[in-house]
Amino acid sequence: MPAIESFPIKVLVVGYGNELRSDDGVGPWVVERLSERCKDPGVEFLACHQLLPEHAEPVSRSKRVIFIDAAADLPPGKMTCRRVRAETALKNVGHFFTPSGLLGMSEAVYGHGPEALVFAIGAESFEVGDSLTPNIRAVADRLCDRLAERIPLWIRKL
Amino acid sequence: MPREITIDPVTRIEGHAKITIKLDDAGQVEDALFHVTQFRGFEKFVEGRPLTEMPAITARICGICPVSHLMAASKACDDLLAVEIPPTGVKLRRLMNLAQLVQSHALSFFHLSSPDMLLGFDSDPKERNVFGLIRKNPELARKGVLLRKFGQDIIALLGGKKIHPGWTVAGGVNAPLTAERRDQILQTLPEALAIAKETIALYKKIAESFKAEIGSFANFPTMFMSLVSPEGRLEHYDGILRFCDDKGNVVEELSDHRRYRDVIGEYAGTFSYMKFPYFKPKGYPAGIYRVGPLARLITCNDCGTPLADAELEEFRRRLGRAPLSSFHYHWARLIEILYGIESIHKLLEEPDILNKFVRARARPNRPEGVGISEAPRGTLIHHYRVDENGLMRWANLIVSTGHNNLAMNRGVRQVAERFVDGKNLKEGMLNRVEAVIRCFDPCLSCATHAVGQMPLHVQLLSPAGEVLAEQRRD
Repeated sequence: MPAIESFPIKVLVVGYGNELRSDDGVGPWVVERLSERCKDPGVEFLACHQLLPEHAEPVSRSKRVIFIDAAADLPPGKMTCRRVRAETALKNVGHFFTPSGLLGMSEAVYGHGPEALVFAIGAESFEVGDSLTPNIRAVADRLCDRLAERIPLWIRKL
Repeated sequence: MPREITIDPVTRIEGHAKITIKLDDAGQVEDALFHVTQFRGFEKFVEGRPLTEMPAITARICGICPVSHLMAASKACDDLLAVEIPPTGVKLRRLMNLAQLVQSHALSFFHLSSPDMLLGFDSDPKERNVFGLIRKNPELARKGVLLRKFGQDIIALLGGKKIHPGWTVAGGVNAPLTAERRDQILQTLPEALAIAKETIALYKKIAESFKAEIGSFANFPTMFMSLVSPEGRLEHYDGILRFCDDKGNVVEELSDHRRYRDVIGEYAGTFSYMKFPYFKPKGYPAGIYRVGPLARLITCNDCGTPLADAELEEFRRRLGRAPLSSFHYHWARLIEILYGIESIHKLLEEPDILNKFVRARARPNRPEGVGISEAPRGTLIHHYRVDENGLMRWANLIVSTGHNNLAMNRGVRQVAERFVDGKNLKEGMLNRVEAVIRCFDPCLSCATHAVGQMPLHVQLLSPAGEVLAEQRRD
């Protein structure tokens, strides 16, 4: 396990999804807005289409990772927050990773799979479109407020 | 006795592609099909959008190869503007395209295909993935990540963002390269080159042990298509669209990309949303051709960089001028990684690479434009029509994976016939059926212009249509 000082990122916020699939883009949407509000040097933001192997590198340099994603298996507008752990016994690995797979990659390659939370928001629409539906946008706004409040607290504690 | 394969509609979550293998009464393979069940949507979505938005929009088709769409879309827009792109703008686009080639090929080889080759096609499926690879050979896995990162970092340094860089625009690129960034990239080149060389040496050592797979992984005569430079060299950004036959002889060359429909037809099959492009003069399905790394190494005369040319020479000495097995896509991919790194070095040392003139500005001057470039997986075609205000009226995209659709289908059948025994079914048999598709490194989210996932579902059906076995990769 690397020394604590070798984690230059205290909180890494990763929003992922396709911004041209309506609510699927809620993760990048939140990251974009949150990055305007949280300027602490201990926090870094990553907005991406999907989680890729090279993302394991910034993850490995982080103390805590917050993933934000749209969910197809939650009622529209419902938001959940769950802890997620590194997983290295995945049978099916393709072009992209799940949060646990990415943490596993970080652990396996770089020796550190940080603690992580996944905020999932039930999407209303995955149709082709470049904006969030009003209901999901309101939920995303609330998540921005919540994280803008929490992240400075986490940074002080970590 | 029912002989028809039932196409099971799959949802976005369950999967977008599946392979069905139909057995006869003796338990032997009667037929096999590769279905892509995503729907199209982006061509409709772009109608009414300003042409200047097209690179950024189409780059969002896919999280795997956004740079490729940026290139083809920007080139189609250049054609609509009818402008000459400043030479440095072209060089910077080439640089980004090559970085994409390296990172994409690295992912395909290290993460997706090497577990089969290094751990074995019949090894425990729980271990036969990138994590199993890390456990067995952590150094190799780390090098795969580094090579991937090398390409992605160049894309980020040039475009500001790794996934959907908006830096390539109609008329050129929107910012020049700085000396600091050039030097940053130059510093990373030696390590990337060392990894590429080492990986090719490793591949050549292990490839001999896959004679059965080489013999039956989509191993049949087809034509091959790719861009080549005006001198006939390996080319990924622009040039002549060349078709070669199964011996490597040139049968067609197209300099005017707007005439691509004279040589490429698109057949719509009944069992897949992905169309079946074919070489028009030969008709469907006789006009089957392949694209991608293997095709590019067959259509080109040479690479034009010393290390890649030495490897190409050995490739041709050992396999012949036009090796027909799709298993050789793996080797071709590694040679292209080497070529990509050498070419990036060459471009960065061009005296005008830091020139500030990188973009031509104009209003639309043509109602119709075509952009063709080489994506890692093969030739990518964007074709747009706009009104007098530059608003999109119509778009057609033929993507790399689509060109290989006929070959992938025929390959699935060939490998199923060779390896699948309905009376003594083993997991490794179905894995090989899946692996033949992996040789082509398909990107189905591009191919059908739908949301970016590529799960695969393999089903083995009895003559009565009963599912005997299945394998799913979500």
